[in-house]
Amino acid sequence: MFAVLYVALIYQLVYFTPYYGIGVDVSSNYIQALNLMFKRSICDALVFHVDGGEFIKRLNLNLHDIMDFYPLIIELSSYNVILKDGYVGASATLQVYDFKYRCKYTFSYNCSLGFKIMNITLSNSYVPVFNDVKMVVEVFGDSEVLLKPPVFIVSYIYNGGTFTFNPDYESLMDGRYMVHFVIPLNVHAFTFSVIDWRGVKCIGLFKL
Amino acid sequence: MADRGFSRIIEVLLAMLIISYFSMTIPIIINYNYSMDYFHLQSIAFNALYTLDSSGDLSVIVYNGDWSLLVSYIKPLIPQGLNFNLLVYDDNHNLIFSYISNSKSFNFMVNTPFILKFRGVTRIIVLQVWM
Repeated sequence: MFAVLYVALIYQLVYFTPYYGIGVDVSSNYIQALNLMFKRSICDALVFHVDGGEFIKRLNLNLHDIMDFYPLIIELSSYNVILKDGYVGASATLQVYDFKYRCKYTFSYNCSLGFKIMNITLSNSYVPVFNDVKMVVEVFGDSEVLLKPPVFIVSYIYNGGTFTFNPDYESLMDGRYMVHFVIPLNVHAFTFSVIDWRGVKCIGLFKL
Repeated sequence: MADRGFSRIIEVLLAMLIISYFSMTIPIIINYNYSMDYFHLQSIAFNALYTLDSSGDLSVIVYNGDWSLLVSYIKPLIPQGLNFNLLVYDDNHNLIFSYISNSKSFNFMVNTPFILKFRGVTRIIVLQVWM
């Protein structure tokens, strides 16, 4: 009798030990994918906010769309949005109740982009009545901001018209870029914008 | 003698318990083998989507609608011997791209949706993996 019970016990241990082990491993890929979906949603809401929309409205819509596909309840615990000259950022903390894996996660995210002009030099351009501008710009932000190169935009008003263009640039080390463009001699202010690969846009006004 | 008869009854009851326990366990074990394959496939599908988007490539490629590039990026992330379909829907659930593998026979299939919110655009990327 005890021999039978012993065999049954070993049988259960052999077959059930890996069964419980697998669940943990599988959920990690699932959680990593969910994590990216949330992060993209927050950056998308920030892009919406920078363009004049309402961050929280867009974020709720994005999270609702994710809940349509996954058995989750997502609660926004806290959030913060900052828009200022040369910097934009959004942070959010989510409480996620997962009905599939019967657990609760807390995710915190930050999506941000900023820039600093480290150095600016003006010199006579080979084009008459234009100044040659060379700037060293440092781009910074969250961990994903420099995954792909940003886009730079220069805009100024001249003779009543607005001129907007993408300046030439070359990448230096550690998120620094050398940006090069020409600007009319009698233009003394311009806006400089950086747009990262996620579409997050950051604007600064500069006076020469 | 009466005591010995009583102990035999207890033994029979215990034996019946053990047999019924086995009969309940065996379907679970069969299910366990299926579950392992199912979860393994699901893990592969999520890993492919996660790996591709951790570098931002999935978001950018889908946003640009470069479908042939998307398929060429997904292919190396799916192990040999497995097949995949790739379906992309817009926010109204209209199918805007599909890559359907030639192989039609399968034991079972996993569906892994990736809800992409990128630059004001919504795309639902469904990776179906099967063996």
